Amino acid sequence: MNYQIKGSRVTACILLALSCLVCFVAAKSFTSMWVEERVYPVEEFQQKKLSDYFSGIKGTPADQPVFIQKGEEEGGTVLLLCGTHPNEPASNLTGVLFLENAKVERGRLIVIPTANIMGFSHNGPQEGHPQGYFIELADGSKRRFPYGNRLSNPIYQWPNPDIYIHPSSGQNLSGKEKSNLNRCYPGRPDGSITEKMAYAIVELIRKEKVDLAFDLHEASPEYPVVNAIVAHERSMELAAMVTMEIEAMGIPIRLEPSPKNLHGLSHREWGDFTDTMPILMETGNPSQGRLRGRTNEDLVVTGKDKCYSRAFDLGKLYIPYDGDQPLSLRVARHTNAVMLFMENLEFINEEKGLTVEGIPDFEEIVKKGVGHFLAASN
Amino acid sequence: MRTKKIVVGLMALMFLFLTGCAWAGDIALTSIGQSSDSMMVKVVLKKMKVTPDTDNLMKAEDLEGKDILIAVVGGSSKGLGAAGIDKDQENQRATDLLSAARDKGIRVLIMHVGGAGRRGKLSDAFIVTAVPFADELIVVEGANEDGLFDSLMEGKDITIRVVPNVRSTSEPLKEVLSLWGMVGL
Ligand SMILES: [Zn+2]
Repeated sequence: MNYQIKGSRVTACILLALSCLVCFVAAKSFTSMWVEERVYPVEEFQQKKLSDYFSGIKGTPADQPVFIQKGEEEGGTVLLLCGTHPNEPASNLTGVLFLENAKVERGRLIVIPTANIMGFSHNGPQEGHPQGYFIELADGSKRRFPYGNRLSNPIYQWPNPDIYIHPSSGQNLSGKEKSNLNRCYPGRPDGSITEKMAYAIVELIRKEKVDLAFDLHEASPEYPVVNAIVAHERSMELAAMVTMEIEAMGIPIRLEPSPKNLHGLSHREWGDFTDTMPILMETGNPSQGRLRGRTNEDLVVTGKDKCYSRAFDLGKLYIPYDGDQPLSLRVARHTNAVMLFMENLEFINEEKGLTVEGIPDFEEIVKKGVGHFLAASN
Repeated sequence: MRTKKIVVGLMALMFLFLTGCAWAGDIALTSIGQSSDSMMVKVVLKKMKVTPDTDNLMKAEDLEGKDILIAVVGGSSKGLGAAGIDKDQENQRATDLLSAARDKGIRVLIMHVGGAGRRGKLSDAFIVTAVPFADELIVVEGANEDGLFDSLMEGKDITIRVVPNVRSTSEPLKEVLSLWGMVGL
């Protein structure tokens, strides 16, 4: 059979109008993500800007809030960098939990909740990810959190080269990694906007004399470095102490060394370019894994996925997977580990201890859900 | 009078020598598979006031003057990458080191502290290499569910010392080191 499509001016106008409508709806959907995440820190936190540490990012999309709380007693300084990869929600949410609950009694706590703020304003193409997800709060209401992309938004940094040559090491990486905050350290004051942002974070670590610095992440359940602590050699003894405590609580965890020849990553470059003890941690996030099935808000929050159950039965996963991997469990893992690190810090250096109160423990977060400890949005 | 003082002094020295002070540095600690699990064992030993000579890339010649070798087994691709070696090179180093220890009469304690998480293709290759050299074996629960360690120890008169987690390896560590003549733990 032979169909012939007959077009006229009228059909052309209709098609044009329809494409305008699609563009309008899509544009509205895209731009709806261009809002900064609202957080409600306890009043003890003092708010600064990342550009206070490197003025080169002032007035750019890389600038963002930095929250600092100082205890009565002198002690160590800890940086909690969350949201390096905005498609790893347990990271950002752990930062928010600390911001909205922490009472620092000894030492100083610095929290950056949306480290790659330029990745929170878009989704990864062809991933089918939701633009945000809802967490149920203690009063039964729901609060929305953003779900973004691993890389900086191309409206701020485009195009990237085919090959990204990491400036300080000469290491070759895939071109898109130039937009990946955790491949850009130690950063450059005159580089791309993501490199400048990395530089500002390294400047903050130097200027605030951060003793212990966390970079929180999530990884695919099928990736070998998951439910893991990655430590620079300077942080290794402390990390070993904490790993043992976590393991003694019955929480599966692995300790991995930071490869000396893998450049651009926080756990390597923070240690090599500053005096801090860097720690990177990973939890298992089915919504970013390659084996996932239907991708929606529910998957982000519950981690329930039939394909992952099957993969676990086949022995292909690096996390114990009993049909789900709730976001609350993942936040509980990060929170518990961060607290243990801070508690153990004084055993490495007596004067650098840190005491933080008000943070719920592992069991509480798992049982009540992380939303129970977050402020109501208004 | 003076001779008496010297004799007493010498006896005191002998006593110290025999009671463990001379043990400092006589224990070697290494990783087989380049995971950081050996670091955790080092921390446990540190709490017991034992400071071993630690080198995750220890070679046969580094065993000079050592009485005990503690080898912590567990594979890590990140660790191998960090050391700039591959699985086969690491397995060869393990075989050379452990054979040398056996030839020199150095007692070998093999430890696997990573539980179920440190099993799988990579780790198993190192377990199969190292465990047959064990004079004593400490394993954290979860790793021997399929009986791999039992099968590797078959025919040997050694009981596997199983503990629930890394922290509780301090008990069997104390037992083994005392058994091998280390006192004052
Ligand atoms: Zn990540």
